[in-house]
This record gives sequence, structure tokens and C-alpha cells, in this order.
Amino acid sequence: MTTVTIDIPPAVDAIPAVEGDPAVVAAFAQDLLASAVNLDDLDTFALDSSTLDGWTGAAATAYGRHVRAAGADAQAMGVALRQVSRAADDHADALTDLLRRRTDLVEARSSYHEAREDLDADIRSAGEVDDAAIAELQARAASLATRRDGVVADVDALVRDLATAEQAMLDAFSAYSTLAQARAAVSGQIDLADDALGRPGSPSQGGTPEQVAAWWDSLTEEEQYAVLAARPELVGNTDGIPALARDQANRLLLETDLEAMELREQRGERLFEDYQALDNARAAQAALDEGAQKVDPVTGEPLVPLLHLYDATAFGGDGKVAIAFGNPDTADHVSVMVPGLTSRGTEAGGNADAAYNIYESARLSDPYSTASSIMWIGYDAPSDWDSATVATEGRAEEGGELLSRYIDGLRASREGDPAHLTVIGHSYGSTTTAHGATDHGIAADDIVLVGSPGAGGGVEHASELGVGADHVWAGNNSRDLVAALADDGWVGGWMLGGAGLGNDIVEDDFGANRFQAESTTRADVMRNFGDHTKYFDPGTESLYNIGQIVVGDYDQVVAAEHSYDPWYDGPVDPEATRDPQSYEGRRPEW
Amino acid sequence: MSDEIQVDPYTLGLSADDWTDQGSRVRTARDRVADATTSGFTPAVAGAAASWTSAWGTVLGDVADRAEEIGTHLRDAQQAYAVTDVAAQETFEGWLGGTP
Repeated sequence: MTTVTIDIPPAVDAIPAVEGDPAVVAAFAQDLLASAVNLDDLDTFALDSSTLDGWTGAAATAYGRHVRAAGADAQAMGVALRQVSRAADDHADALTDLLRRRTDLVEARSSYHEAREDLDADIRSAGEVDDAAIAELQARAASLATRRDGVVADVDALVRDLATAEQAMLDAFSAYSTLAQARAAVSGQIDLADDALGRPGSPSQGGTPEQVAAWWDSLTEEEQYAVLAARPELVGNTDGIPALARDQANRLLLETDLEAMELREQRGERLFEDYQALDNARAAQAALDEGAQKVDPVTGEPLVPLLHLYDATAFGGDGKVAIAFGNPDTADHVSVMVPGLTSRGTEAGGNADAAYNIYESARLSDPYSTASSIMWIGYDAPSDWDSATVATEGRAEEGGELLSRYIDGLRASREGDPAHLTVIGHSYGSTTTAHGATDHGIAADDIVLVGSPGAGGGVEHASELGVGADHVWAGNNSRDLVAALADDGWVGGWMLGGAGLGNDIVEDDFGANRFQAESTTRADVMRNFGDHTKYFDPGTESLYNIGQIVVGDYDQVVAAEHSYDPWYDGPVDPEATRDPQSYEGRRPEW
Repeated sequence: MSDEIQVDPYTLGLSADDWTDQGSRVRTARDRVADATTSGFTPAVAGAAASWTSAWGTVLGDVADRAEEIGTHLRDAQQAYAVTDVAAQETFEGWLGGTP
């Protein structure tokens, strides 16, 4: 009998801990960046107010000198905060990567130890075996040794990369540990943000969405960071800039806005313009907080809503806001919901809920593809004191132009293939959408009009919306009071002093695809306002069909009979007598 | 001393308010930096992070003070101009014996 020795490679030491928390470090970076915004504001303010209209003389000169110095210091501090913030952001990314690698290594080590114990057990139980069995055991031992070498090398790399990441962060802290260092860092240097914004295609130079997208891509990461901190209002609200950058900029603005206005409120110094702006800002924050509680209906993963547009003081205090569920720059299917009457900043919550419902319906309709659903209050919709303007098309015409540009921006900031893009106009928003399409062109694949009082005066046929009549979808329900304001032959809103805004979009003559949009909770009585606000409610026919349109599953859309207008009688809507169906409890359509 | 003196006290007052507002905003930034959570860093970095936030909290506090002081001094200047104007008026009134 011959004794054969097989060397079992040793165990692997415990994987060193990576103790950081990238989410907390990212929040640290965000805190510093928000503070950099405050300092950049101070820098700009100091420069702008270093001379005051109607004040000259020795005191004014001394004031100017002092203020300019204060501004220069603010600029230096803004740069310091921004640089350390950026380093912390990079550090958070590095920690995320290191933690993932460590988890993989813990698994690899455990699996290695199991294989090692199996080999040990097999060798011990082998007894007298032939040469082939011995060779097999030796091969397993050799393979294990190679595996061990790999794990040990990866552990070494993990430790080394952790040390490198830590050193980079320490270097950033020490490079900007004092005001003197910050002053030295900016002395004689060009202002990165000013320099970047001075280039062709930038928002400051009046670039188109396509030019803005190309300009943003051409910036270094450091320049992008500088522009973001110096001009968050520009980054957050310029069409063509990627959604994640817009979100970061708008969240910074929102945070600093809220802090400033709430501080003034606490001190009893609330400015006149703060009254509406603070309500708008609070509504945006609440909508984001509530949106962050929602999950993807297919994966169950929490969603992070993106603040795609934010200006609390726009439109004379009505405000602008857009919130997206899913990233519009990468999603396969993108939808933009344009709300109507009463849409203003304070209505962010209800409209964000509607956008989430559309997102959910789209995901359930096609769980294999990704979706992004945006609610867009980016135009001056009739609301409050100016609600009477709902009877005219002026706001829709202006809003249509803004919408057209916004859609161009979504197209321009895309990564990879173009999205399948659907614009959904509700109520007066449908008139705005139609004006955008007919007056300026909307780069959409499909247009959905629901609760529509008309697609604008003079628009006779769906084909005029520029996406092909077969891609225009009409979803007025039979109980909707606002939809009844549209013109049906000789009957219509024009009879009520011009309350209607064009032809009935569900009439056979208009030529759009009519889909079922009734609700099981519709009122018994004909025509009421309550049924005007159910199009995005969960379980409704309307939301089901909108989801199918958004993901391009046109054959799944449940068609409805068009209304018609016989010469011998008033308009007839066949949907009025059909029993609506419920889509409650939908499951993903795998 | 400048050859020309011109002053609009109302503008000075408005600017003073703006500077006070800026000071408040920087003070908020100071609080944000000084209170930033540093526990997300690894132990090798957390100490430096805490020292850095503490030091910059002080620096930003000084800047906030400075901005608010500018506001205070503008109000002082506004008041000084008004006092000087009244004093000059009284001088003239006295010289003219109160007669128009």
C-alpha cells in the first residue's frame, strides 16, 4: 500500500470590515452642496450690491470695498464646500462599491470553506482508492488553492482600495481646512461656473434643448458640479439637462428656499412674495416625501421621485413643478401628464399621485420594460383668481409652446435609444397639449386626451396633431361635465359664451381612437364635475387603457364607440348606457 | 473725501434688509455644515470629518456675522445721514431765525 499526501489549502482569514455608510456620506455631501449654494448666492449678491443706486461718496466707496471683499471670501468658501462635497460624493460611490465587493468576498470565502471541508471529508473517507480517484482529489485541491489565491488577492485589493478612498477624502479635508487655503485655491483662478456658462450652447447663451444637452455633456464633472452649485435654478429648470442633475439641483433649491422662507416666517419678516412661494415649496417637499413611500408594482423596490422642474415663484406665484417616477433619460416608455384647471404649485401632491398611478398602470401593462411617468405643471394653468381664463385658449397656446420645448428637452437628454413617449393632457391640459402639437409640434409618439373640453378652436381632425390620427387617443367619459363643453356639431360650449375649447374629441368626425374611460363609481345623473377627475384613479377603465397606450400595447386598449351627432337630435354617446368594468387588483401582464 | 455725495436712505434701508437676510441664510448653511452627520465615514476618516465640520462651522458663523453687520452698518449709515440732514436743517432754521 502506498500513502499519498494531498495538501488542502489553508482557510482564508476573516474578510476585513468596511464600516462606512454610503447613504450617510452622500447626505453629508448634499448638506455641503446646499451650503455652497448659500455661499454662491452671497457671492453674487455681494457683487450685485457693491454699488447702490443713489448712493455715492466716501462712505459708499468704503462700503463697496468691504462688500467686494466679503463677496470674494464667499466665493472662496463656496468653492471649498463644493470641492469637499464632490470628494464626499465620490467617497460615497467608492464605499458603495467596496461594500458590494466585501459582500461578494464574504460569500466567496464561505463557499471556499464549504468546498474545502467537502474535500477534507472526501480525503478522510477515501481509504484505498485507485490512481484516478487520487488524481481527482489532487485536482480538486489544486483548484481550491487557485480559488484561495483569487480570494486573497481580492481581499488585498479591497483593503488597498479602501485605504485609497479614505486617503482621497482626508486629502480633500486637508486641502480646504482653512479659509486661507480656500482663498489661495481661488486666487487667480477662473470661475469654473462662469467659464462653463459662457460657452456656446449653454442655457445662459440661449441654447436649444439639443444644444444644452451637448453643452452639458461637454463639461467635465468638476465643471458640472460648479455650475450646479452656482446656478441650481438654471440646471434644475433647463430643458436638455439630464434628469438626475435636474433633480439634484432642484432639491438643493427647494431645501434652501424652504430654509430661507421658514426662517423669515419665524422672525415675522415674511415677504409678500413668500406667501405663495412657501406654500408651493412645502407642497413640492410633501409630494416628494410621499412619492418616496411608493414602490414599483413589479419589483417591490422603493421609488425615488425626481424633481424635474421647480420654481416656487414662477407665474406670479402659481409656481412650476414637475415630478417623475422612473428616470425619463433611461426608461423604455416615458409619459408626461399635463394637468388643467387649478394646476399650480400647491397641487403637486395630487398630480404626483396621478403620475404614480400612470407609472403603476404602465408597469403592470408591460413588466418587461421600464417606464417613467412625469406630472408637468410647467405652464400657467388657469387657477385661483385667474380661473376665468379657462374659457379662453390663451394659456393653452402659451403652455403648448412650453410643453413642446419641454418634450424636446426630454428627447435631447436621453441616453441611448429614443423612448416611446406619450403626452397625456387632462382637462384644460388637453387643450394645452393639442396646442403644443398643432402650433409647435410635439415630439411624441402618442397623444392621449382625457376629460377634454376640446383640442382647440379650428382643429377639425386628430390628424392635425402631427402624430397620425391612429396615435391620438381620446378618453372622455359620458358623465364628464367639462367634456360636454366641447362642440358637437351645432351644440357646444360656444353656446355658453365660449366655454368650450374646440370640437368634441370623442366624436366620430374627429377621427381619434376612443377608448373606454368610464368609472364604476360614475354618477347616476348625467354630466357632473366629479366624473371629470377620475381618469387617473386606480381601477378605472381610463387608467388601464392609458397604461396600455403608454407601453405601446395598442391591441390591449379597449376601444369605445364614438359619440355622434344626428341631424334630427342632440349628440348621442353610446358609452352612457354601457356598464363600466373595474380593473381593481391588476397583476403584472407577464 | 469724495467730491460728490448722494444718498437715497430708502435704498440703504432695503439693502440693509437684504444683507440681514443673506446673513440668516449663511447662518443656516453654518448650522447645516456644523451639524452634518459624519458617522457615515469609516473610523479612519470620521475624526477628520468632525474636525473639518467644526472648523468650517466657525468660519461660516463668522461670515454670517459679517453679513448681518453690514446690514447693521447700512442702517446706522441711513440713520446718520438722516441725523446729519436734520442737524443741517436745524442750523439753517436757526440762522434764518425760523422765518421761511
